[in-house]
Amino acid sequence: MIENPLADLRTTKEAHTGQLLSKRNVVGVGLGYKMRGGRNTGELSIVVSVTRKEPAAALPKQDLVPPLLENIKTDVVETGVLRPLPSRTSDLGPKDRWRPVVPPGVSLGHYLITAGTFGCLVHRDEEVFILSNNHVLANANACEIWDPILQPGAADGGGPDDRIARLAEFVPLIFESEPSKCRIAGLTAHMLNMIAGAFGSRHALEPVRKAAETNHVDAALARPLSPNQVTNKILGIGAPIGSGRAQLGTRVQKAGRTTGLTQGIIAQIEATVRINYFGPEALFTDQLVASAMSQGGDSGSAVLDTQRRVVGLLFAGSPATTILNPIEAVLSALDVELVTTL
Amino acid sequence: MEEMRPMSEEDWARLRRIKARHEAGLMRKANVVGVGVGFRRAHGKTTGEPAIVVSVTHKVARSRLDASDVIPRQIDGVPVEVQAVGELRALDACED
Repeated sequence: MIENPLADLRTTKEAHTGQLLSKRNVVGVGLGYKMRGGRNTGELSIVVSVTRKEPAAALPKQDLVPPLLENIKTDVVETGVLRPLPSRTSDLGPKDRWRPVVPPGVSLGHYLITAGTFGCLVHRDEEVFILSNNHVLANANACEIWDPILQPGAADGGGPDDRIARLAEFVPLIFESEPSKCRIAGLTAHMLNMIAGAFGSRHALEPVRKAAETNHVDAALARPLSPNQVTNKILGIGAPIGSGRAQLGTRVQKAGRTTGLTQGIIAQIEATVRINYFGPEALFTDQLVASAMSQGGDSGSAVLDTQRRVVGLLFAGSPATTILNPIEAVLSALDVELVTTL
Repeated sequence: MEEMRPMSEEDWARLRRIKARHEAGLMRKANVVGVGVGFRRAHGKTTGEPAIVVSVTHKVARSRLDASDVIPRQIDGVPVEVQAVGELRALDACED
């Protein structure tokens, strides 16, 4: 009785590995079940991988793999030439440096920002662009066209050697003029209103807020240094099949730099929201409000429905909620189309 | 309590018009950061009843607000849902 059949096998295999590897065409030696006629015999054997099988007659005697090694059968398997594989996708996360091909859903950003997310690929005629937010690719207007875009973003270690694109175009963000919420402005208006009231004026004065100019999108395009360096297959989701319009209750998903793949639901449409850009505030109209599905760093993520239609571009939120630009507004503002599955 | 009936396209259009007409006034009130079209919630769940949804950074008791900052419970017959969401921020990565 053999207590551990593998133990004997291992000893035998180790004793012969060096010699086996010196034979012509042999690229690997391991333990496994012997296959016969494409089926598993259930019998443990020493498996010898070869680039190609050759008739025994064509091989010098010393290059023959013996059918038995110390009474243990060998199994010769043709595997072709073994090569290192491109880094397995499961080994890389959304904050990592992705090469040679960068998928949407991973960290990237203008060289002066922390990091955001590569949303998706779009095109105008033959030219392909990376789509993300203005505040990710264009540093919230504080930029020059042609500025470098890093993958990963600077917060994830991106530096001069990590350039993958250059800022191409952006929709300028309009920030609210100061300072409607300021107490002094409010008080002054209040006092003027009292005076106006005292003089019987029907025109009450209000604190000044430039409410007329609102934003519809926080969006920008970057031109990849090489079109071969980007794909339209969103990490963990796949390529979008097109664009769609989200309704109340639409279930959505996104792949983002910080929280990865998450799901949510559209809770409000046609929303007007005031967004804090780490100081200045900007008013947006006609936005989609989704449930909590993001954190800082997810800005720029494409938001898709369950049929993989892009419905929004994620750009803001709080621990309780996520705000998206409807994708039609983004595509029309930039005059581009999605790169979809063909 | 009024029986709920399915909203027609016309009902939705009316709701949108009411929201559009009042959103500037709502956005000026203290702590308000958003106004949209959604559903009323009760006990943490959506009721399916269409509403004007007003997002606020935090809720403040009516008695502690200026009269002008109080959000009405209904506008033109449409329920108003007030939700505390915190501050809405652009979501680039946090500096740490």
